[in-house]
Amino acid sequence: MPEKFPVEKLSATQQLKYKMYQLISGQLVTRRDILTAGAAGATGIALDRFFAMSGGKSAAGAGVGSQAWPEPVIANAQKLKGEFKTLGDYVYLAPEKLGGGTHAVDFATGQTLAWIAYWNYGDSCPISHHLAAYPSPDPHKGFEFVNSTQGGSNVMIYGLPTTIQERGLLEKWGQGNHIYRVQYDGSQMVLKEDISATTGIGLGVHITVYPDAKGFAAADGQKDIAAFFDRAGANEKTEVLSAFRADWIAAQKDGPLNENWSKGGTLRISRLVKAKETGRYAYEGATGNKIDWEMVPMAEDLVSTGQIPGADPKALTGLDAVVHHPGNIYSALIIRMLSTAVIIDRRTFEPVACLHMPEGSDDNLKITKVHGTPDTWEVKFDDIKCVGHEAGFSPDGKIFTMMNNIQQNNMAVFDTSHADPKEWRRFTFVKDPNWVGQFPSPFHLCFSMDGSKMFVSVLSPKPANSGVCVVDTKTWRIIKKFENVGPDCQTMSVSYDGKYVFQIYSGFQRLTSGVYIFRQDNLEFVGRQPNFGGHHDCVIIPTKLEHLRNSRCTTL
Amino acid sequence: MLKVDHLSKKFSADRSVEAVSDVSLEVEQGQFLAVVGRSGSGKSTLLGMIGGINKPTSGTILINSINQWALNDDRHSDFRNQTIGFVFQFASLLPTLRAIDNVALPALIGGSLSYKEAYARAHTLLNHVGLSERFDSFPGQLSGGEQRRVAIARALINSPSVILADEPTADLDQETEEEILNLLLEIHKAFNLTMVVVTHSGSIAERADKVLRMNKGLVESVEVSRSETGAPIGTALKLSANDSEPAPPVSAVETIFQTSNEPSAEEKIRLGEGVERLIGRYVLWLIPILLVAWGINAAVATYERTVLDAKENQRIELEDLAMKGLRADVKNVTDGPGKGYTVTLYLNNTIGPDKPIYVMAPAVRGFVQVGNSWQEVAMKPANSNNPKVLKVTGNQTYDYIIEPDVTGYAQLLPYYMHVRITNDMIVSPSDQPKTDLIERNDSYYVYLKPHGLDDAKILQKMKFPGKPPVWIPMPPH
Repeated sequence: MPEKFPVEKLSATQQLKYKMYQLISGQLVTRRDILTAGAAGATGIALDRFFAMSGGKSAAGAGVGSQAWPEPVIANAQKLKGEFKTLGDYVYLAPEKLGGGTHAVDFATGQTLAWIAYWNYGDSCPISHHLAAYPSPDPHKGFEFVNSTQGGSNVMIYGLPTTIQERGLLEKWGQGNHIYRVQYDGSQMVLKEDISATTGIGLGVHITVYPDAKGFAAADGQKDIAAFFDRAGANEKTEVLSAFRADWIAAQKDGPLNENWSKGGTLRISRLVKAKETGRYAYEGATGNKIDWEMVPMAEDLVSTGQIPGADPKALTGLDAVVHHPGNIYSALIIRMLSTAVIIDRRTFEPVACLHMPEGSDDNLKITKVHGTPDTWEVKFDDIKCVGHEAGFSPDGKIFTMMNNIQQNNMAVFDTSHADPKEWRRFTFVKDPNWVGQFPSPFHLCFSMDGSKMFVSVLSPKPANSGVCVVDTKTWRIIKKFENVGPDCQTMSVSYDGKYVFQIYSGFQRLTSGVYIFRQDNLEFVGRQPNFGGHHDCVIIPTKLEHLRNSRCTTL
Repeated sequence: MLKVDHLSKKFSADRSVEAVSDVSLEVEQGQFLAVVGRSGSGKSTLLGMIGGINKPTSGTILINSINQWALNDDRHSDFRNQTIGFVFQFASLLPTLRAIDNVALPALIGGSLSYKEAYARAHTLLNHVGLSERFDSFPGQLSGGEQRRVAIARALINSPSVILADEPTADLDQETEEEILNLLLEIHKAFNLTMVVVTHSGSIAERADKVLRMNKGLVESVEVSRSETGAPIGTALKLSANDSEPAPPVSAVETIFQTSNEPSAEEKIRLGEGVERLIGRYVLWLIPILLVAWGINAAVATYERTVLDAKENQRIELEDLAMKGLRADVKNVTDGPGKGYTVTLYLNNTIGPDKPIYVMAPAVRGFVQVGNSWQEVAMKPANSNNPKVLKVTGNQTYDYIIEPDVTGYAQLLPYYMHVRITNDMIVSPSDQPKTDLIERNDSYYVYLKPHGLDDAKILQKMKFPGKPPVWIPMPPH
């Protein structure tokens, strides 16, 4: 549009004024321009409709396959940059419990890296329960983990109107307690070994890798058995380094059931031996179960009311887990019915100390070897003031802590800096005024990478949401609480770069599930990630050996 | 050009006051008629009737042979707008419009010219009345004489055939009066306009072609008092037309328009010189309006956010109350009465007795697994007098009777029935809730030992540390 006025001769300010005037008075874009453009558009639409109505291709449709029109835009999804914020170059593993498998999630991309379902290998009732992973310098290229499963009657406790038993799926291959060794080969997960079949020891609960990554331990509170395994090489099978069974001999065997534990008794630890004929142990599947289903949280109460069926509930100790001291010499057998940790010297695989958690009880009990064939040790308890649950060592190995549940509902804290476990002493308790009665109760724990904080999941009964609290490890006071995180907060993980805490919540198997993420340093909430399945664990694959100090090795 | 025949105008209800009485006159094209007389002699009334403002009581007025009073209202208005130019006793300019706007306005209202043409002509006319530098001024910025000049330019905008001026110099000093008078005469001559001027001024009358002297509504005399040579041309005007020659019959304004080399008024407006005033008068006062609008919007948004936050917080608090503050589960199951079982549910207020939780109409139903599905069975409160709204202040129990009379039930545990109990509750912190209520739906799972079954038979397939329990709870897992 030619200028009538020599605008170029004006000063910049005057030109701006002139343009403003033109803009305000509509001279830059006139109504005529708009009408012209609108008329052109309307004509185009009309033509398009006309062609469509007359049976021909519309102007838009005519472009398909025609050189007259541009080809569709091709977007390479791998090259597109979205809004996803990476949480670091880590991969975490989450067992899906009733989902029957485990999947790996890539934090860098937000994708599931790979997954495995044990149904596909002939396990007719795989309840993928707990796991631990060996370090891998680049998990995207490969890693290895060990995954415990349950099965058998455990599927009966979730209120499922199932006919799985009638269909024969809980027989030999559905009894559970498989220990699967799985590798990710850079493209998919590969089942390498059913260690329970190899060794004859089937355990369905906690798995923890040794601090030197040369093997792992597994335990199961239904059987009261804990076993130490080596790490099999590429074409080797896993071997048992040593295995123990725990039994409770009540002081008042014939008394009321609820006094079977509270009135004290003897904890007997015996080394399991292989059958000479087979070279294997005889604890596959449901063999050796004292109770018919797992020691779920607060199930200790049901044992003492006689409402859990099983072969020998009165002998139950609840040996449900093993955690390892980061010094790589000692491991602790976690015994829930007694709120006790029996310390094993892994150099000799002999018990050397017995830490007792309840407030008001002696903290380090004498353990005595009473037999040599098989090796048997005993610990005398005057009473049992409360049951226990999960436990762990701090990454520097100077602290051991374990939950006292139901009756006391606190966390006993031990100084474990002494070289001799017999000198490990309980020096404080973590308490919260809300931890009264059965619920809410401390449930699982882990430590920040620098060890300055302890993160504790706090269980509330369904349908309430559980939460997380943060404990300062200098004062052992709770400094922050995340409430209403999600139902059934389970075992936690920390990212090894010191940034994030990942609290997986499982939703009691069939409800909400996901991962709640907050920062290790300033404890600020970061976000949530969706996640399939009713998880019992969340393990970030270590990329260095020292990461095991903060992985499923030292804590549960 | 102008012919008035026996024109009369009477006022008052009975028309007893005759302001103008039987006036007749003729004015030729280009003649200047001065109407003089004492106040109240009927001069202005006569002018008003000629100008189409006052309707005559009798008589006719023809301008260009048209009797305007015979036209309908619309055409009469058009005629008046296009044919007659008025100059009143006072300038009567619109104070909020610039001089050029005032001049252009009659053309814009009448639609005789386009916007561009109207402003161009207005600019030219203002130039010719000596206000070329003041077209942009508002009336308040002009002197009385300048306002009169604007009024004269306004009268000319539609190229009228006749100019009617009523005391056009009434309130002006002598010098200014002379200027305006000269201007009118110049225009009269330059445009060959017919001009009728009502005046007390003798100097004006002296320059007229004709002088109509009125007294008490009657024409006292008609005199031809103006010489053919006319008065000297005023110095304020620079007319291009030769005053000694008769003007062409066509509009002189058009002639002037054709010969003008001045930039049009619209072009001058586009210089951007008015932007500051535009900003000052419109944009600047838009800012507080926009600020107020923004403030209102922000306040509304804040209010909405507050309301939404409050609702969300209320929901969270209610959910906490219902899910954490209130615990509920099966406490016990016992045999009886009859073939039924007594199911004891507990509701436990964990917040404290001082903050009761109200549970409305807990709907408790029982189901037994048959095959892969749940079959509902009879379940009712043990006490039919239970209140509809339960006030829970501590750990309280409520009994229900379930009668699982089902054959072929599934046996997940040997012999035991797999039972689901649902408990749908409306929970509130208030006994008369309005919006502060939330629904909680629980499912509890238990195994029930059937009646009449020998325990020994059960123990053959399952082991218990004592006798088989009546019920086995599912752990909260």
